[in-house]
Amino acid sequence: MADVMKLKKGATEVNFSPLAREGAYLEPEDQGRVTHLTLDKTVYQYDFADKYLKSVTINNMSQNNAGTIKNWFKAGSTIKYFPDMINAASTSITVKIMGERFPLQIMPEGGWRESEWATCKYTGTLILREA
Amino acid sequence: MAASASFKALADATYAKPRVRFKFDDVNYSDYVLKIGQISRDTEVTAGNVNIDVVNTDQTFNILSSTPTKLGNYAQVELYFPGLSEYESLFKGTLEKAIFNTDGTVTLQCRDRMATMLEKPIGYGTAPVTFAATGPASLVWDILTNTNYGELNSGTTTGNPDIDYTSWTNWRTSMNSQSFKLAARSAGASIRELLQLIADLTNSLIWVNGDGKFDFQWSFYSNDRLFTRSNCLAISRDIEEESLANTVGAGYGYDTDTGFWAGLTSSSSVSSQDDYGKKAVYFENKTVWHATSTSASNFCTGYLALHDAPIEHIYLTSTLYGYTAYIGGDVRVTDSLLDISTASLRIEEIDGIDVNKGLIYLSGRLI
Repeated sequence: MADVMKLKKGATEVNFSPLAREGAYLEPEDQGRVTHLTLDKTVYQYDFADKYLKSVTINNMSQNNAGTIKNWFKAGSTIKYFPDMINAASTSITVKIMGERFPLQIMPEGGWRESEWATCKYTGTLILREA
Repeated sequence: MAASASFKALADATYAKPRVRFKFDDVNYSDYVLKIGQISRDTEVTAGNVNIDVVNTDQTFNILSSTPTKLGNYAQVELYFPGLSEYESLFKGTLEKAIFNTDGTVTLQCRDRMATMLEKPIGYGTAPVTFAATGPASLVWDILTNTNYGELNSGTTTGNPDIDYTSWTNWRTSMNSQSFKLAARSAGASIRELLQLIADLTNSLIWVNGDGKFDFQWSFYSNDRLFTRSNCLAISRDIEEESLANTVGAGYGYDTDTGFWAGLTSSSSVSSQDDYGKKAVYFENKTVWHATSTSASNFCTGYLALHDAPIEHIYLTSTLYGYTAYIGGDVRVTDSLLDISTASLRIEEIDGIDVNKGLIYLSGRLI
């Protein structure tokens, strides 16, 4: 399956796949939106934010791509987020990566040694907010 | 200020865009807010505290460290809906403590704006303050606004920033309907203690509302509104007889010079005694007391009506519509699983307002 989601700034891209390979991710979740089901099954939906706000949980990301995201995060860059490359390949949203600390960490299962840092993988949850 | 019909309609809508505004020192800092903790109010003459986490990446909040006089200034959390120029205050308090966390965030601990005033003592051992017999509403007004005691605004209009004047006048009418007369003598009791005693001796609730104003409600004041299962995410219930009483007595006419009471009046419910055994409670407080026999008698009658059967509590988790309910207000719910019919529920406590989820946690008793 093709990569179905990506982040892009200029010519630099980071691609994501729903499969368990480079940049595997879980379905993005809406932040700032809650849905409640009452006792008589009435659905209430509250949108607390004006701007698009998603959290994307990522696994198995290469150090190279994690480094790219880290640079964007550190610089507070606005980047293009393409949420659905299959059905709307050209649709993008300008976002910023939010958070107080860089959200990606080295995956713990690897038992990485210093000499292997170049091949270690990263995991974490990116909070993307419409800029 | 009561929410408008338009505001209530939006709070009851199945799809809504609620927004929360956080102001400190009258400046809007909403964009800095990471999280607002649960806000609570109760019937213990105070509003709850609230913690607000804010980002401090641009060091905006360093001013709290460089200018400590900012501490103690007003912090306010308001609910609003885009397109409606109305802000309903959920909490109005003062900033008490700012914690600069290692992750660069700042936790602002805010407390009820009346909290400091409520702890102020009135009188002291060798110089007690005596309040002559008067209606409870007048007594409360004196305690809250007298420049020697509460020092709150004494304006007798709805513009009073400290006292919900409409609520106070309605409560005064209720108190007058019962011919309540109270007297008091304080030798160091705090304003909080005095207000609580007055509330207890008049079957009333006194609290600080979300706008930071004092609010009042007589327990028999009719204020019914429909509140259905479609507004509730969860309902639970308990029933207890710990506070059951079927004989109620109250002393009246306490003489502060001689230490004698003019008399004691009581009311009993024989049917309740037959059902639950004899349980008596007497009110002979020497800080606040009923001044007349009629006042004490009417209090006993009311107290008995509220306590001569096991107390049934209901706990609700509601949608934003629960915001329109308030302490002392009545709502009606039905739930066949919990065997709740259409009996009214009197809200006694707003346990929490979760502004992150749009949920209101309410508790009260069946009446």
